Amino acid sequence: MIGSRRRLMGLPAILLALALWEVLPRSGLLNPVFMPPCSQVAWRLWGLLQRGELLRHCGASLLRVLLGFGLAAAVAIPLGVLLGLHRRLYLRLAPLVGVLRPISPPAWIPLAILWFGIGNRPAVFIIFVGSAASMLLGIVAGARGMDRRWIEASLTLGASRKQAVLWVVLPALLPSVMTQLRIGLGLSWMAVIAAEMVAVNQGLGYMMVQARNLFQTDTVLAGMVVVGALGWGLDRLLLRLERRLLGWRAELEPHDLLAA
Amino acid sequence: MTYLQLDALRKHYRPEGRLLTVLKGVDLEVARGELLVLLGPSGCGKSTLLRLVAGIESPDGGQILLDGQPVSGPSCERTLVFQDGLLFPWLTATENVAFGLRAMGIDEEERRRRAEEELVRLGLEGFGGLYPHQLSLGMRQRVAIARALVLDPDLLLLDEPFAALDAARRRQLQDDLLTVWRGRSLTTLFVTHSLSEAVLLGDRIALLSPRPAKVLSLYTIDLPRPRREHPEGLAAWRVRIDEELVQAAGSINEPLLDA
Repeated sequence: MIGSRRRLMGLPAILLALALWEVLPRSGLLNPVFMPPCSQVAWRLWGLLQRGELLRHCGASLLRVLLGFGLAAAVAIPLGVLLGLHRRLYLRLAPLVGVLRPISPPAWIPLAILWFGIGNRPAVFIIFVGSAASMLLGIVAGARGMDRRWIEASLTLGASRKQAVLWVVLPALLPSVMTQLRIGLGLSWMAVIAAEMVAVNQGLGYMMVQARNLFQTDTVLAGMVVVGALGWGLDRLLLRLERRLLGWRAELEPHDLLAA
Repeated sequence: MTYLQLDALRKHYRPEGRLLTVLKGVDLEVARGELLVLLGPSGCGKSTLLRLVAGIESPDGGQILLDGQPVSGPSCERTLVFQDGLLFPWLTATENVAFGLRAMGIDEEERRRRAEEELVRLGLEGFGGLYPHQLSLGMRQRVAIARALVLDPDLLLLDEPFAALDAARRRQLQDDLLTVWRGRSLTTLFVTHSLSEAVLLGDRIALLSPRPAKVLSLYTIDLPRPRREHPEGLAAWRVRIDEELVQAAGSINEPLLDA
């Protein structure tokens, strides 16, 4: 099948990276204390998995992402559509959101701890602020860029304003909403690791900071591998959902301009 | 008997703070059941005129009367077919045609039946389940016309609906539109910049000046239909209108924006 062959095309690059990761520390070109070889990290990963420790940390991180990202999406989608379709409201609020967005998730950590103490709540808050503003502005841009003649067409076909929003604006915005959700989930996943480096006692970020304090470089790297793999997996889940919901779109092929 | 009356209609925009007058006192009367073609150079304000009649935009002066009642806001009794069809890409052809029926609150089975009937009438039997991106340009335009006609409007507004089609496709669609149109007492405003299309289709032609648009002349095309059987008559009308068209376009070098 073409799909599975396409997926395999990425494999050589990964295998090459793994091979370099194995060979460079073993040959002494990299110090194995700071960069333990791939096999040692895999072995550590296996140990963490067997002790159930890894699953516990993953579960904690995933739960926080689910809560923070869910909250952010629940706010950003309706507010984004509203601001995109209401010029005056947009002019009033866009600068505020624009200033909030560049504040990186770790910058919120001190405030989050002061406000919410320790545990899940500050982490969820950090994920929320780390992803909501970006998703919001993305959805606003999508709504503002939408062909407004679709709305006009629906009105001349007798739709009420409410029907125009439900039957035209929402489906028309679904592609950009899905894109923003994927970006937002990626940001959430990045934010959760930062948030877990303080004020919690489980989660992948916590696991990595603890390992660094004990100088267990292999556990740090194992954590990074898991973070990368899970983040990729989450994105694939949303991509699947997107393909299901947007079956009406013409399949877009990436441009091959530089390949010829 | 006058059905649609445009009375000293004015419209202007203010791009970047400067005044752009698009319509400068357009007067026009359209009888019920008439097919009136609005013919004018590109950018003269024909589309704006249609948008005003559709109720998508409001005039800055003058009024639009339907049966003596002023028009306010869009309504499914005055449906507009856009130049590029503007189908909803997330709906199938049938669902696109059924859109207005859904807004009327007609139940699903009934609106599907009526939408499919309308598609058959426009020569699209068996294509109802396809999405717009799976249809050709001509087919999409047919769906767009079906989507308007299925609502049985009093007034059909067509904004250069065939402009993007090749000559053969265009000819087929013109003929099919006339066939469909003849079966109903449908008042139609048809915007085009093509003289031969205007002469072929219109009961009357309103020749518009370059922007700011006003009606320069009205022609009653007295050729019997189907008019393709009278090529010499069509040609004579084309020559006659063409002369005035060229004269009207003489002032084309005016600045785009008013001082």
